[in-house]
Amino acid sequence: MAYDFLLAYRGKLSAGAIRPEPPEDGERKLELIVLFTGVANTLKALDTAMCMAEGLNARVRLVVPQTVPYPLPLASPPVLLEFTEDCFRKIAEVQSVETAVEIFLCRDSYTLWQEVLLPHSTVIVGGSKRWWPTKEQRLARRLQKMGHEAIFATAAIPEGKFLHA
Amino acid sequence: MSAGRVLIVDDDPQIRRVLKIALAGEGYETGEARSGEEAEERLREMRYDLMLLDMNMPGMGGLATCKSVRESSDIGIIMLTVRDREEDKVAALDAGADDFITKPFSTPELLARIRAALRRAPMAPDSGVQQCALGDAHIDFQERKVTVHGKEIRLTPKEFDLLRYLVLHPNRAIPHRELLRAVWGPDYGEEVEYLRVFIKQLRRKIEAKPDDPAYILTEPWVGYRLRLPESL
Repeated sequence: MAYDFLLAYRGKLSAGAIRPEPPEDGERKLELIVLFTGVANTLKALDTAMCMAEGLNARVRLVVPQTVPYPLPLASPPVLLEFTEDCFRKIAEVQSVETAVEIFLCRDSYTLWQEVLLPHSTVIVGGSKRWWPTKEQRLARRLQKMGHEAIFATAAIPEGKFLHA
Repeated sequence: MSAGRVLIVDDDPQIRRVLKIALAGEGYETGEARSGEEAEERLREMRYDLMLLDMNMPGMGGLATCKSVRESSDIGIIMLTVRDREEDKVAALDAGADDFITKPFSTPELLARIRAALRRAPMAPDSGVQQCALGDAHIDFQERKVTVHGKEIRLTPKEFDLLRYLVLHPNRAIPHRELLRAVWGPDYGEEVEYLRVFIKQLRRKIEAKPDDPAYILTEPWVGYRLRLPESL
């Protein structure tokens, strides 16, 4: 079976102060998964994730989907991976913790979530709330329906302002 | 055994020192804070039975601190002040203080008022339920230890505080807001999703069937309820 996604990058976002790894005790650690939904939205989601991770002794994983249209080969995304990495550098500048990050090249992000997320995962989606559901709100609702524990983190900075500042 | 935990909140280090010595002599455990803001921090970190609160402090004053603490805690509060006017006493009591004592005061009088306040104070967690059994899970609040089938389970401080609050208020539907304020502090109240995740983790660690919990129950649209076994 041919998969419609490809793991393009796996690494760790590190910033100034890195939280020391808690001692391993053999227990399976809870993983909080943050879905990349733009820089400002993701920052808010990461804030929420960090806050929760400290209280739960959990680890944070940032999953980034990069959609590749069908005319292009899956391994040749229209947006350069360097650009995506640049976005992460911006995130790293304002984060004070270490986060595992995975960039996936995919045809459709929803298919990616179905394949990548383990059942009953705790997923954090950053976005802004409006009276008419935003794309991120709809994503959170859809993940909830898929059986995941979806948490919607409201972004303080409107999406777009961060990149152009 | 400690006679109780008292938090001394005063910007004057001399007064803090004198009070600390007097209280330690009577078997009280003490904590210190130099301001209202610091007092709130201390209360978040540890459970106290009583707070001795100076009325005149820089920054967040005694009255504001008293009001803020009272919103989320039923700790006993005795206000200390140099003022002796009727309106000051009224303001302090209206802000949520249980008693009022004017400086300079004698140590025996202060200790008597502390004893009286502690008698009136609701049952503190550390002086009340020490141990609790929820099915196969055994919780020791003094040692902060949880064992399931004899095997020790690690709970994070937040998870433990959450469980302790639930055990102290058994068989009662505790609203989300109350739980959040009691465990996370007065700045919280809307973060229902935090509770969802923490409760889920607690169930995974304590309940035999986390998907069909027997003890930590969800009260839809309200909050959570801890169902204690009949034998307890």
